[in-house]
Amino acid sequence: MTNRKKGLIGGVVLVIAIVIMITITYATFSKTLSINGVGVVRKQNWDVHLDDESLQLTPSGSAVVTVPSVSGTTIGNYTATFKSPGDAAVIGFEVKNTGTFKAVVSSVTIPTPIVTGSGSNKAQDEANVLAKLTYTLKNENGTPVAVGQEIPANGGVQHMVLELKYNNFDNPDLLPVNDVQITNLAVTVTYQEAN
Amino acid sequence: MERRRTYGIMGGVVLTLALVAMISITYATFNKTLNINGAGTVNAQKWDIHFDTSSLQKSTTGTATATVPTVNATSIGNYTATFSTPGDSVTYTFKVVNSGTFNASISSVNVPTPTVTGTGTNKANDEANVSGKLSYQLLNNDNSAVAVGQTLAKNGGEKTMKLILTYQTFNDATLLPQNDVTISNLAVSLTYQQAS
Repeated sequence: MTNRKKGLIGGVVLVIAIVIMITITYATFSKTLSINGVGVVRKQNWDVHLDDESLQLTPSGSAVVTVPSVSGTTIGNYTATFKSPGDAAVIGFEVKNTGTFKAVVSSVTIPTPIVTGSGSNKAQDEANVLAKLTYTLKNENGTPVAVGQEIPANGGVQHMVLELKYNNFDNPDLLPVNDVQITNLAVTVTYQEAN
Repeated sequence: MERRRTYGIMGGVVLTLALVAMISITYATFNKTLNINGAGTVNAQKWDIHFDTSSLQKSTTGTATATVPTVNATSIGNYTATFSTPGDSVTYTFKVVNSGTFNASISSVNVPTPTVTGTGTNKANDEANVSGKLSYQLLNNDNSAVAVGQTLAKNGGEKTMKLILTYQTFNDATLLPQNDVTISNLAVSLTYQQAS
């Protein structure tokens, strides 16, 4: 074989080698990693309400109390008439949590009653009656309904008692000369989702 | 005349001889062989990007429950997550390791939008409400998004990532689903290629 042919063959081999090298450089490796799963969001509802079948009226002494209306979130409007010291209107009811979230009392508002007299002894009647009125919202065990008390989810129940009382006394000078109206009796209890 | 002819013939012979010599010189090329000698080595090489199977950790928030999925070199699956309260979430933390001899970089990241499927009379609303409160993220451990171009060094480079599925919190009770809503289309893929 002539030197020229050897040179030609060597050149061809070199070109082929270079082509192969170029080809190898551009064929990059790759790898795919994967993660898979499924999820579900359970049905949920927020439902804290008054049990309208739980209402109980317990007037004491000579008190006369009307049966209030009850809806999911409201008991109203009751009327209570007191005729003697010691009379009281006691309204028992239940709060139910049929939702899927535990609930907690976030605020309780029990206002100070407003008394309005009439006639010549108006001011004295108002002062005397107001001093003998108490207005409370308590749990069944006698403790005050308070912020932070919880109702479990899915059927939890709290029994409460609202009491408006004309406390007893034995000084007849404190008896009202004329009727005294009692207003500003709206109580609110707010629940929120417990942590 | 005789002498001129002789000179002519001689000149022609010399010319011929010269031409023949030139032709002979043209074909009798010099040659010299040059030698280059040596030895080569192809180093051992490996292309190996994988999940560190011992690195998987699961954490949940709120009332969420979640399973620990199976892990092999290239897949983590199939996890299941259950949410019962707004604000619930599940986080899976894991490591990607480059045990190969080539630097790698991410060439594609696919984090799908979850598909939600409700049931019952409030199906459409449940689906819309839940879908509007879902988020699905693949993040690096520093909370930056996993992105194309992100590199992973050869010979042991590691990257910790976390996959987070969240049922975001809200306080409008009307958005709560009336029936269970299933979440699917959660397959995440992450492709590495050899870096330049």
